[in-house]
Amino acid sequence: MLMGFASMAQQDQFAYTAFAQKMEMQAEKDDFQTEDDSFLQQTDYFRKHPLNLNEADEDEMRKLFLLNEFQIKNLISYRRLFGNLVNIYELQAVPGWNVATIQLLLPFITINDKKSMAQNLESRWSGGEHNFLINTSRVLEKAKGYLKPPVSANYYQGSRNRLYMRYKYNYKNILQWGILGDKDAGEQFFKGKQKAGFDFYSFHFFATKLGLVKSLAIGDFTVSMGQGLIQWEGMAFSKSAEITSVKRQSPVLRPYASPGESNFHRGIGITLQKARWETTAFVSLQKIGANKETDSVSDPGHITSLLSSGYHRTASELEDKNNVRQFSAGASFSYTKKGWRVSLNAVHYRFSIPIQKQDRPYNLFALQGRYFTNISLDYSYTYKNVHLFGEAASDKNYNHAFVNGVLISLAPSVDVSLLQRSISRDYQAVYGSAFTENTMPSNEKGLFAGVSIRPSSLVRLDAYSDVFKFPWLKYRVDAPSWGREYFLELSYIPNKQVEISTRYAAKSKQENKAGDNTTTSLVNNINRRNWRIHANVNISRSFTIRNRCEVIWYETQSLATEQGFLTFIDFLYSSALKPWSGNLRLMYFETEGYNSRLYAYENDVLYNFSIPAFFDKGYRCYLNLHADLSRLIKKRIDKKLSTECWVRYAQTIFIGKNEISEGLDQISGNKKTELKLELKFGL
Amino acid sequence: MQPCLAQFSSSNEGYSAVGTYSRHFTDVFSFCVNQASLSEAKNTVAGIFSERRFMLKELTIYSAAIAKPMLSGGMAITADFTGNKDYSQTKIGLAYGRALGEKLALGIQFNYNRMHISGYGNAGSVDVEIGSILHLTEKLHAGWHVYNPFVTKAGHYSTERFPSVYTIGLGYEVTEQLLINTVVEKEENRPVKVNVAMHYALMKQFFLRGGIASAEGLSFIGAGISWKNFRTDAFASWHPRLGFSPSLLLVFTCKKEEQASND
Repeated sequence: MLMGFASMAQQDQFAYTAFAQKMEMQAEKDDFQTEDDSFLQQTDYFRKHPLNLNEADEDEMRKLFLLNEFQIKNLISYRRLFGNLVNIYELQAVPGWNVATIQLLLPFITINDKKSMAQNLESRWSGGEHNFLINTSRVLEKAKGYLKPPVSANYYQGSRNRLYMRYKYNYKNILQWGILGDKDAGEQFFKGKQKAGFDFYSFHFFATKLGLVKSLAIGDFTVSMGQGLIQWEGMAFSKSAEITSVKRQSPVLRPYASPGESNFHRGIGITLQKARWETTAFVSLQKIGANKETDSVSDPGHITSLLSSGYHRTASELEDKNNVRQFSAGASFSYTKKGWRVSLNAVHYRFSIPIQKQDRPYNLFALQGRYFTNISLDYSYTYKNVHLFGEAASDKNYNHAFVNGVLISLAPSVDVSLLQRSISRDYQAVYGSAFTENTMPSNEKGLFAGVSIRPSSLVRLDAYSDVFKFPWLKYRVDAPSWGREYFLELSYIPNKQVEISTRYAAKSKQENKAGDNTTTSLVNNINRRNWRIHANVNISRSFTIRNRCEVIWYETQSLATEQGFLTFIDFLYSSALKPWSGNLRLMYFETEGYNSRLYAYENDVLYNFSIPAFFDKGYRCYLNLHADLSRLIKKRIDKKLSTECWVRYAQTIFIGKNEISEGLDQISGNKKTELKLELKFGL
Repeated sequence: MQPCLAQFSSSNEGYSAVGTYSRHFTDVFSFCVNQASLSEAKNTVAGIFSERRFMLKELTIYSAAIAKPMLSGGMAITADFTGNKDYSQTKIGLAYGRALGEKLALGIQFNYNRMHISGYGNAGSVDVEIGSILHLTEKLHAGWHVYNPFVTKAGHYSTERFPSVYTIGLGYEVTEQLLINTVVEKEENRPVKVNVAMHYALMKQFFLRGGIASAEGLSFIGAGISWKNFRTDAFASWHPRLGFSPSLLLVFTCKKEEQASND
């Protein structure tokens, strides 16, 4: 039986956990958190408008983010052979669709034969949903950058609140547009340098399914091609327990409606599709922020690095705001036949001043110049239970990069994935992002192998190993180096109410010896080992408890071993009968330093996520409350208006510290408290 | 008694270990990995193996083994050789394994090791290895194996010795075509090694094997074709820094007349 003890909201939590786990591993690897909430926007949309699996095409199923390539292809074949599915239970007959996957998807899917409403152009413009979102947050303790009189020439010029507003119209994901404005804490608002109000504005218009035109994007959108060797913006996960998601997949164009101020294009893009051919072309012109250096008075300067944080709070940050013009254009041609799909992709970038990184040995092959062109050929092929994919790319200097992978469903209970990457040290792609250990696809060779075994519905085992090497130097690694990563996770799901898992991960890399300030430092091995135990228990239909305990050991040849520990307990309440829900976390962490830091995914208000790094010693607690005020408001204003409200209170208390953070963000005392409020109106 | 010599090991151990902890995937070389699997010997089998380690002629390894069911279990003779006239290592072993009931099997092997260095003479030693396999369920098999637990010297006058190696293995026969195997190995003075490997039979006569090992980050991939009584495998293992080691394996099964199969 699929429906059972777990409520819809609890199913939701399972999907959240699957996503959270990937995000955590990504944050650990990159030490950086993206602001791209497009995944959360999509899942929220599907929660309200479940995807009809009898009608959805491949691209729409990929938006669910929870299905792997086999499951998608098998469902399409199944529908072709046997016609539409009768009900949810029939999904179990589709190869690769197991009960666990179906349960994860339940809140987001539906099976019915209702043909979608006539999608003529007029109904698209008026039949959709309007949503207006306001999000504001504030750190209650005053950071150094806000002190008056200012402590230094660089100080935070604006108010301490973060304010984010977004209006969006969406008709069944076929037609959407919107505008948003974002002001980070410390940025001014209608004052000083921000005369236009918000620091960041974004407009997007995205239409799909217009006959020959598969998608049309005007305004802000993201471009993703192949396996990311030449171009990838938007959500991309690398290694995680979901070993079948080694393959990157995304439509070339996607709308962009997130507050992150980088990693998108501003311009026009169009995708045409006719029979087996699909063609995409885009062009964009925008201003971006970069660190500039000038050699002399007459020199227009050169870019030493592209900025992505989007912070424009201090005088020097404002100087770097939108100081470089970026023009880009690109195209992609793909041909699909039977199990094959082949695409030819090209992108071209042009900057108003050249990129010239700092003159260090590790930058010998770094991005250089004003113009960048990349082309690639990517392919995918499915044969029975094997799915092959890959990409071969070249940059303007004819340096090459290759990625090849295979997904194999060896048995109904066993999936295997392999991925090989071979990217030369001098390969350059400005906005590439592939399945690599490095943040940028360059200077890396590696082999990834993953296996997922589900011997029964009770037990699940996921494991992977990644062996890689870097042929050239890297930042803080003064020699060619290598690394290895091993991961093993065992999950036990005795019934629908309980899930217990334990995970062990070990990672070795090389870095310059700490404290070695010679021109070419010695390179040391660094080992990180993690062990985590995690449990999810549904106490009742409305109440869930989550518990985690995690230990990390950080070892390097030159310093003493650092150990870290983290434990938390979550209480989640959500009832179908009540219009409100909430969750509370209590956490204790203790690490011996920054090197033994631990990451933990936190629940947040809608469309926000938070994966802080925890180090040193302290407590963390947060409380999220959600209230659906529609019933209250409906009687008074408008029958159709829906109103929802989220409040978040989060506090970290450090033990034995009297200062938190550094620089302008420094807070005196040992507490850091954040308060967040979000309102969403829908029509 | 320090230091330890490098253990005489070839990629075949990782490769053939795949079938060791199972009922339906064992072969003559898996008997060498854990002697208890000799209890699964049903016919007389013989095999030869050769590996060109890291593509260097000087590091070529040759192995041969022959096993025969007898004495209510199975007996096997193995021989390994590497080197040239100036330096060589030889190992000859005699093994016996049998089942004790439905679920348990035990095995033991005695080896004679000989090291020859021209100008220095020969050094011989004897050591023993013991193994056991437990058939937990029809599909799940576990076992342990110890090599050289009693720490024998490499020669009468030598202060060097061969290291002890402790192994536990787990095999999961997912379907008739697929086997997943894990082996955790601890060789003295070396880090723990975890091997994970898979055997997938695409057809009755053709299979693929692949695996990875932690510690050094080794991986291997191979394929085997069988025809009548013969089976030949080609596989290669890859070390991230030392390169490829290609290997070739040939197995001959002498099927008894009453049991002649029709494939």
